[in-house]
Amino acid sequence: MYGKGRIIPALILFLGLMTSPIWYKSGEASKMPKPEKPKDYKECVAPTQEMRTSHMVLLNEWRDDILREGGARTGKTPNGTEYIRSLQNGCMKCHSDKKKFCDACHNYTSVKPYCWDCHLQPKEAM
Amino acid sequence: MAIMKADKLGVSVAKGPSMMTGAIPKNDWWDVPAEFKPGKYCYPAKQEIHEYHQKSLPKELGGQPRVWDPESDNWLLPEGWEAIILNGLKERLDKFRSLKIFMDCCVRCGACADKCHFFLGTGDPKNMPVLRAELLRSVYRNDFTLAGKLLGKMAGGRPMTFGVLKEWFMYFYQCTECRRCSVFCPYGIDTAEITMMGRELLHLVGVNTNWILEPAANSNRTGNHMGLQPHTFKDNIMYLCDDIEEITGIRVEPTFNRKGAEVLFITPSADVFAEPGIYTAMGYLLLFHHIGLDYTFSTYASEGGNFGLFTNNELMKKLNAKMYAEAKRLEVKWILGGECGHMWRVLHQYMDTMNGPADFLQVPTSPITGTRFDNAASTKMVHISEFTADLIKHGKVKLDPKRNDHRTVTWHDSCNTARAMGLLDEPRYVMQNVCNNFHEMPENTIRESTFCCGSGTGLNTDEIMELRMRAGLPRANAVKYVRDRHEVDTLACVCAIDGNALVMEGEKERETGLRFEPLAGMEG
Amino acid sequence: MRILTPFIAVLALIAVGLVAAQVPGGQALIGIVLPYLAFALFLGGFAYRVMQWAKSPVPFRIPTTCGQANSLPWIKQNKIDCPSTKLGVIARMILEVFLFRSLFRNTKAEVHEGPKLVYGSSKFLWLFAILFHYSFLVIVLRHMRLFMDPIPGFVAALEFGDGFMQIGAPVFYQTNAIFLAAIAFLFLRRVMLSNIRYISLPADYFPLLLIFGIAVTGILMRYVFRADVVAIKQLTHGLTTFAPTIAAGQISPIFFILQQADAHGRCLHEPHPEHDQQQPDGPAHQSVE
Ligand code: SF4
Ligand code: SF4
Repeated sequence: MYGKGRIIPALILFLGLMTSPIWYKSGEASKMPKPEKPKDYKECVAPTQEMRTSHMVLLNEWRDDILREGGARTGKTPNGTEYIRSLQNGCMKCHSDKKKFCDACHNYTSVKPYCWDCHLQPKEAM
Repeated sequence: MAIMKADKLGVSVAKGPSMMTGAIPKNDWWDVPAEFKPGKYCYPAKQEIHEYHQKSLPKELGGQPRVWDPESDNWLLPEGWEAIILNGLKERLDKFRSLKIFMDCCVRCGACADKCHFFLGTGDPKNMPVLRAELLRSVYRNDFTLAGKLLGKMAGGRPMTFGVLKEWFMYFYQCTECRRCSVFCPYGIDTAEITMMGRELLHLVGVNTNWILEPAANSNRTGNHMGLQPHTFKDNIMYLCDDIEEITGIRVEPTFNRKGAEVLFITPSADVFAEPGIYTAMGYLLLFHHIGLDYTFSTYASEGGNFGLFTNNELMKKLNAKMYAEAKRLEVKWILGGECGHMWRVLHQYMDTMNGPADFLQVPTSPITGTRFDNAASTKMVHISEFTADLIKHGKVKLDPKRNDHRTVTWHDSCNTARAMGLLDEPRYVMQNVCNNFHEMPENTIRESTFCCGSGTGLNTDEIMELRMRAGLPRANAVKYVRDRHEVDTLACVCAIDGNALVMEGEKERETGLRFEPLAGMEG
Repeated sequence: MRILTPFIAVLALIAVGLVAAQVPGGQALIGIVLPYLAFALFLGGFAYRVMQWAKSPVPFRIPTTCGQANSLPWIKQNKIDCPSTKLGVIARMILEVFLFRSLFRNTKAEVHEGPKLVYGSSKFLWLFAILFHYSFLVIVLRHMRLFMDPIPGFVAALEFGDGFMQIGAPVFYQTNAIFLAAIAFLFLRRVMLSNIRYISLPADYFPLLLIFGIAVTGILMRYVFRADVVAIKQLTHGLTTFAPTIAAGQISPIFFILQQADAHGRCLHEPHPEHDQQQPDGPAHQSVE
C-alpha cells in the first residue's frame, strides 16, 4: 500500500460521510409521529390511507374547483355525511390543533406546505 | 506523382467513408480485424538488432529474435505467448497505479474521441483514443476484473487472442503518445501511457519495429541514434564549424569530453547529422561562442533522444542514465539540453524518480546572467529555450529582428515540451525578440492543445508515409490557416524530427522554410 | 444488442421488484435485506477498489501539463494547470472534480473539403454532465429527510430552494426535471452520435437506464401512485437505526420496485464517476507536487 498517509484518512472520511445518517443522533430511536385524531368524529372525507398519502392533492382540487370553476362548497363522505370543502372551515373543524395534527407528520418528513401563507393560522399556532 | 498522391489523399480524408466523414461502420469494433498491408505498419526489427538488445537487457523484455512478417498469419510467437502477455500486464498493473486507474475508470464519454490527430486524419474508429485504450482494456476486463470474469463479453471483456495482438500492433503504432487526448479527458486518462504499456507488452513476445529498436541499439552502443562513433560525431560538428566560418567569418571552437567544463551540452544527434537539425546546431554553436559559455559536448552521451521510451522502461532508464554518467565523469556543474521533445518528456516526468535526483550536480545557474534555474533544481538540466530567453531578457545577446523581416513566423509547440513540461512562453518570448512578424495558429491547435506533427514515438519511418501524412494533417491544416490568413511562411519548432515531418507534410502545400529561427537570426 | 441487453436487465429488475413485493416475505427482502446488502456492497466495493489502486506505487510523476510551467521568474506560470506547489495541485483537483474542467475544454472537430479541419466549441457534454451530477447530488441530499431525524437544516433548506416555484402539491422539485432531462441528453447522445454509439458498451447504458428507471419510479411514487411518506420514513429511518419496520399495507408496491432498482443500482453502478472522483489522488493529478 502506497500513499497510506493520505488515502486511509480520505477513505475513512468518505465512509464516515456515507454512513453519517447512521451516526447522526443515533442514540435516539426513531420517534414515529402520532398525529392527534379528533375525538368526536369517526369518519373523514376519504379513507385514512388515502388521506395519509393524498390529502394535499385533495386540498388543491378543492381550491381549484371552488375558486376557479365555481364548484360546490359542500361534499359528502361515502357514508353520506355532509362536510364543507374548506381547509379552515372543513378540515380544521375536526382537526382543530394544527400543531398536534398537521405539524406532527410534516415536521417528521420535512414537508412545508404553503397553506398558511394565505390562510389564517389557527389561533393555537400563533 | 507525389503531388497527385497528396491531392488524392486530401480527397480521401474529406470524402472517403470514415467515421470522420459520418460513415457508420457495419460491425462492432471487436469484430473488425486488423489487416496488415504494405504502408500500414512499420517493419519489424532486424534480427541482428533484436539480438543485440537481447545481450544487454533482460531477455524476457524483448522476446525471441527472429525474422517474421506482420502480413502473414504466423508471427512465430513464442509458446504460450498469451500467458506471457497476461503476466506482463499483471506485473505492470502492480507496478504503475496510473495503468490500473486508467484501466478502471474510463466511462466512454467520448470527449477524447476527436482529439487525436490519427483519428482526424484517418477516420479509423480504433484511432479514437478511447478505443485504442479499449483494445487493452478489454483484455484487462476479461482477466482482471470480477465483472469481466463473470460476464465476459457482456462486460466488455475479450480474451487475449492473436487477433487482439494484431490490433495492438497496428494501433499502438498509430499513436504518437502525444497526450492531446488526455487534456480533454475528464479523468485525465493518458492514452499515451496506455500505448506505452501496450508496446511494452508487445515487446515481451518479440513484436517490435526496427525504426525504434535500431536507433535504440545505436544509442546504446555509440551514444546516439545515428550510430555515429565518437570521432565521426566530432567531425560532423567540426564541419558545421567550417560552414559557420564560411558564412559568418567567425571561427567557433567547441570542445569534446573536456573534464571540468561548467556545462555539458546534450542535443539530439539529428542536430549534428542532417538537415534541418544542423541549422539548429549551428545556431547553438554560434550562440555559445558569442556568450562565451564554458561548455563541452560528450561523444558518449551524444544523444538527447531516448527511444527507450517507446520500447520499455528498462531501456529508457538505461539510455537516460548515460547522460548523467557522462555529467559525472566530466565533472560538469549542470546539463544544458537542446531541442528534443521526448528527451524532455523523459527528463521532466521520469528521470527524477528513475535515475535522479542528480545530487552530484549543482542547481543550474547561468554563468552569463547569474540566474538560478530553480525549476531544474532536482534534474539539473535546463532547456535551451529557457536559457536563451533568460539571456535575451538580460540583454546578453544583440538581436536584430529586422533580419528576419522577410519571414512571417508561427510557432509549433512540440507535444512533449508542451504537455509534459509546460514550456510554452519561453520559446514565444525568444520568437518575439528575433522576428517582427509573428502569428499564432488557431487557439485549439497551440499550447496545451497543440497537435502532434504525426511522426513522434518512432513513427517517423518512411514505410508508413501515408499514415504520417494523414496524422500530420491537423497540424498542417493549422499551419495552412495562418499561411492563408497572415502569409506565414516559416514554421519554427523545437525539434528537428517534428520539423522534418512537417516539411514533408508541408510540401504538398508549399515550401516550408525550416530552421530554428531564433538562433539562426542571431549572429555576433 | 448493446442497448437492448441492459434495457431488458433494467426491466427485469423492475419486474422482480413488482412480483417480490406481492409475495410473503418479499417486502422484507426488498425493503430490508437488499438495501443493507447493497449498501454494504457499495461501501465495501468502494473501499476495496481504492485499496486495490493504492497497492500499486506511483513511480513516475506523469501529469499532463496544461499551461505554462514554473520557470523564469518573469514568465507567468499557470499555477493551476501546471502547478508546482501543493496548493496548486489541490486547486487543480478541486476544479476538476467539482467543475469538470477538462470537459469544459471540449471541442468538436469536423472535416471539410480541402481537407480542412474546423474545431467548434462543444460545451453541451460539460453542461449536462454538470447538471446531471449536481441534481443527482441535490436529490440524494434531499432524500436525507427520510434517513435522518431530526432533519438537518441544510436538507430542509435544499428542499425549500428546490421547490421554490411552489407548483402543485406535493410541490414540484426542479432538480427532478433537470435530472431527467440530463439523463435523457446523456442517453440520446450515446445513441445518436455515431462515434459515441460505437464506443459504448452495455456497461455504459445500464447505469443510465437504471438511474432513469429509479428517477421515473421515484417521480411516479410522488405524484401518481402516491406513497405514504411517513411509512416510508419509518422504514428508511429504521434502516439507519438498525430497527427497520415495514408498516403493513401502507407502502405501495411501487416503492419496492424503486428500492429494488435502487439497491442493485448502487452496487453495480459502482465504477461510476462520482465514486472515482472522491479518490484522493485523481488520476489526472497523480502526485503533482
Ligand atoms: S475522455 Fe477519458 S473517460 Fe472519456 S472516453 Fe476518453 S478516455 Fe474515456
Ligand atoms: S496520445 Fe496522441 S496519438 Fe495517442 S491516442 Fe492520444 S491523441 Fe492520439
